[in-house]
Amino acid sequence: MYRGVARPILVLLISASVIRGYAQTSEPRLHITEANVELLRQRADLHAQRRHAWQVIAEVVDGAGDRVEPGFKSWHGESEVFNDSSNTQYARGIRGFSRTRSAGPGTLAQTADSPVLTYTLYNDAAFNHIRDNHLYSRRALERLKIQGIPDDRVPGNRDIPQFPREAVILKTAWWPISRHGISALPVWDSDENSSRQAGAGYLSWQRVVGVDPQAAAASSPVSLEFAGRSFQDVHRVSLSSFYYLQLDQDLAVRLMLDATARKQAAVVLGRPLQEGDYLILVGANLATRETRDWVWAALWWHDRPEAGLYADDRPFTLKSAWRNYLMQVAFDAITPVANDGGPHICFNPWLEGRFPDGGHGGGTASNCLACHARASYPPVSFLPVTRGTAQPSNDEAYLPGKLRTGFLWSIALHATP
Amino acid sequence: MEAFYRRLGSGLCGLALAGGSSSAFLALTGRAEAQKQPPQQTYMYDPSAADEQPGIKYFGAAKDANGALLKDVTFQLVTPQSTFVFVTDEQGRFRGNLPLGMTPDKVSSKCFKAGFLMTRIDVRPGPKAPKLTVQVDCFLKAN
Repeated sequence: MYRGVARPILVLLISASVIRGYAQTSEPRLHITEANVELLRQRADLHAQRRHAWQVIAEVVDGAGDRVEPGFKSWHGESEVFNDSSNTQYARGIRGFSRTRSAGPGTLAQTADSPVLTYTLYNDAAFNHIRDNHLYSRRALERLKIQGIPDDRVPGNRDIPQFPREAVILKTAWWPISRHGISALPVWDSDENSSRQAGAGYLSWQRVVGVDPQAAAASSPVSLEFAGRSFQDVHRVSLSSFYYLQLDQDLAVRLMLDATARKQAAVVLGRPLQEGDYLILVGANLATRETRDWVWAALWWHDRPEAGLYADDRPFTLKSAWRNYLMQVAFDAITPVANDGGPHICFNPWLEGRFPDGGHGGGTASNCLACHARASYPPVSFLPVTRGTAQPSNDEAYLPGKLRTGFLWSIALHATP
Repeated sequence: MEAFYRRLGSGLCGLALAGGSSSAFLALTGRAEAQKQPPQQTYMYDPSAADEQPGIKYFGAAKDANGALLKDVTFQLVTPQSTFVFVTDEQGRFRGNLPLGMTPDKVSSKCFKAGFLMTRIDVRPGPKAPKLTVQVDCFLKAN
């Protein structure tokens, strides 16, 4: 695995410093220096990169010591971040879910995408940076587009103020589970879901498991219907296999005001979410501002979490249900090279799998970092997804006069008028 | 188109009142009525409406074995380029836009709802018109 002696020593040093830095705290403490993260990127050692990403994930999702709840449960939700009012009180984490996008009949009927409920959470450092610099407001972005710091990579572009290194952002993806009976959950198997021209959204996945809120542990197989297909000998799993929450009436009502959540509930349950139903965390994308281009990790749940490349290097510091998630990581848009010899691939089946091939490969051949590098204001479409180096000469995301939004599409797309 | 005509209809009504052979009083009343109309009854360009977008309008309904319209039924329309998912509203109907060229021969359609089995799906291209339409109706029975 290692071609020299220096590399394992470096990795050990980095790992030691990382572990030292993970004291008992609700915030990940990224004590590994930016220079060392940059070394990890340059050396393109996938396993070293994965070990680092897992350690950060362990800190974010599992915490340290005896803390039961994940740190991100107390982070700021996107509703609180992209809001004109600083007086409104929001609950933290997914429990603060609130969106203004209407779920009225017109909106619901006309959105064409396979719906996945997502909610993005920001730690204090990321939240304060966006709020203090008014990056939640298009007025501020318009001003920065003219007066911001000139971008040193893209000619004629300007930059938002650089995020602090402590900034961490987590985009969470959730799946509804009925409080009664067994709910089907599609599972993405890399060997059975090859890249498709039309995208590989969860409705095309070849296998499901049954999530049974009444089961204390994995139990006998069942037959299930999902998305008009019949599945036999379905592996039944308990809620404790996931990070999950149960809905109270207030949250169920707020979720059903959102077009995407409303539509997903219809697709999965054939009805709106109700008090007592559950949301299980099926995926998450984690971005840490450890380098200027951020480090990007994609997590997703699997019922065979010990198998395959995406399980490699998982540390023992990850506990309980968090051991059931697989992971990919990107430090770079190109390296380490993918199995097909092309630029590095890093995607989340739940979040990017459904994206069709727009000429650079579909979502399952994309790279988080390469796509997020295009984030700019005024916003352009984030599709088609891509990987590899940017192509500024024929990409409107890099036109002169643009404001780079620090790799964050959320700023470009969700800033308030 | 139907939304277009619905919205246009209220405007035409105001025009007819103002431009007909009725008295000036009626015309004045018509204008006053038009001014009082809430915005949603006046035709306004809404780029997010399926009727306004370029492409082919797919629409239809889902019914159970008794012919009752069913809400929260998913219509999955798969094309070579992408998969489109629509859900029926409170009235058991859906409508949406597919890209130009996505005629029924290039689209695989199905519908589903938890607790139901699909028994039949009818796909019917609409009449020749400036905007092509395709009607997709789905029939399901309880499991």
